[in-house]
Amino acid sequence: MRMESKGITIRQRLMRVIFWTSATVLTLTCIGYFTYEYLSFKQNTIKHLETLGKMTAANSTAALAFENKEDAREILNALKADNHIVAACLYDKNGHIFSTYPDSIPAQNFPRLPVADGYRLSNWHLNGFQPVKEGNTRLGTLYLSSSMDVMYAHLQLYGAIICLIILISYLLAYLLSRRLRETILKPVFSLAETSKVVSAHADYSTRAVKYVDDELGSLTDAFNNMLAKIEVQNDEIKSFNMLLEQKVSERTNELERANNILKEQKEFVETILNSSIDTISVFNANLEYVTVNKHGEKIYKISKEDISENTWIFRSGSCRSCDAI
Amino acid sequence: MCNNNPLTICASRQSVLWFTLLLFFFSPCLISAQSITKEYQAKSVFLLNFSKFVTWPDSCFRDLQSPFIIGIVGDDPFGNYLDETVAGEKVVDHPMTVKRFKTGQEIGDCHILFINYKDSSLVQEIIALVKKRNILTVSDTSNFTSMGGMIAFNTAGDAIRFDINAAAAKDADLVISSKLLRLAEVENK
Repeated sequence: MRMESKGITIRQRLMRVIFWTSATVLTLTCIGYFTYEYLSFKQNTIKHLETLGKMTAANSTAALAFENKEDAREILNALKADNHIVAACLYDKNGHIFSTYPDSIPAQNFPRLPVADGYRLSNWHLNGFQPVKEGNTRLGTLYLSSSMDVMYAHLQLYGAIICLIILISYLLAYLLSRRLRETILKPVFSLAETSKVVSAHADYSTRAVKYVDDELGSLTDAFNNMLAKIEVQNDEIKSFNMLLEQKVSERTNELERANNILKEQKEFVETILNSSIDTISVFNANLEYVTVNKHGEKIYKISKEDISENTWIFRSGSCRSCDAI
Repeated sequence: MCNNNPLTICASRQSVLWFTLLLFFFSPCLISAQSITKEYQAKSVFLLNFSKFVTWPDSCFRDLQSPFIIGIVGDDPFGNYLDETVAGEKVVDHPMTVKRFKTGQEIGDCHILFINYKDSSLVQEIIALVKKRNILTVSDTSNFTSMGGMIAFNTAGDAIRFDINAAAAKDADLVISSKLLRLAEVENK
């Protein structure tokens, strides 16, 4: 398992998680809305221009049919009511420019010939050609050019509002997460603090405070139960130790007493043995000297230390007293 | 230059001179004839276009395939141009055709009638003959609308304009589009 980068607290990590989650969701939502707004506004602008084009074309039929330029000019001039329309032009059925709007734009600045019907977005303008028909007879073509400044101004405003909403949302997310993270972090910190105290002072009577009744609450309960069990086991070990010490002490005293008795008995036996005028030697099952009385020491010219250091083995004839015994 | 072959060269010079003089005298007439032709070419297109902006009652067509007739009474100023203009054209499903009538009495089924008489009494006579017959009457004659005619051409400079007598059209059960009325000087009598 990969270790997380060091030096980042759980508080910071939690803040990062909340911030990036909020930021990603908000940004994606805003991009979605912005795209929808752009597409729908573009579509509405095209629809509006198409409607205007159809109306103008319908009014222009007679002017084109009867080659009445004044009437055509008058019809096109009516477009000034819509300030998005920057240019308009009527072509006759042979594709020659018949009338233009506004007068300030020279005729050579308009497309020389009409192209395919329909509206297209180019150079920040929506331009299009609309057939001028009376019944089934095509009498000419209408060209309209609409400025998209309004759309871009609208989108700029929308973009600014979106940015503001994102900023405010980030700020709110930060403030809320600061407040809400404490509800998550408080039990965690309580556990961490308690475990630190337990570890430092081996004080198993300390308990973590339970703040919430959720998974963290269960964890706190489990931690406290664990501490309680350790405490009980610790107490039991302590009491066992005390009992053992007591028993050892009693046994030691008993042994000391037994030793003293044995010592006294030994001294008594030695006194009896030493007070004897005969040589008295004691052997073990292997016929090795265990002890000899003072008279024996004199006779055999050995000391008790020699007997304890070397093993003296009784041999027939090597010790006169043995025979005596 | 006349010294080498004086007779031939001098004769040639004379013919060039005569040709130049003839051209000089007759050129206004040629130009005028050409402009008249252009005028009636435009007028024949106008006659075709009137059919698009005027609605005739269904009763004036025998059936769906019966033709839409443009009639000319009096001298024909259009030549073949009107026939060429309306060739292949239809009003709704009715194919367009041109008929020429020598006199008023000859005028039969017809939807647009171009009256080409200089004599205003003859014009009035024709108007009276076709009155209430669902026929759109058109003429070049001055004061045509005042005489009860429906559409009168007039020329303003190079442009051809027209006056409309809306009341006369209404009497003949013809509905003239407001788009057409907007282009015309409208009379209501």
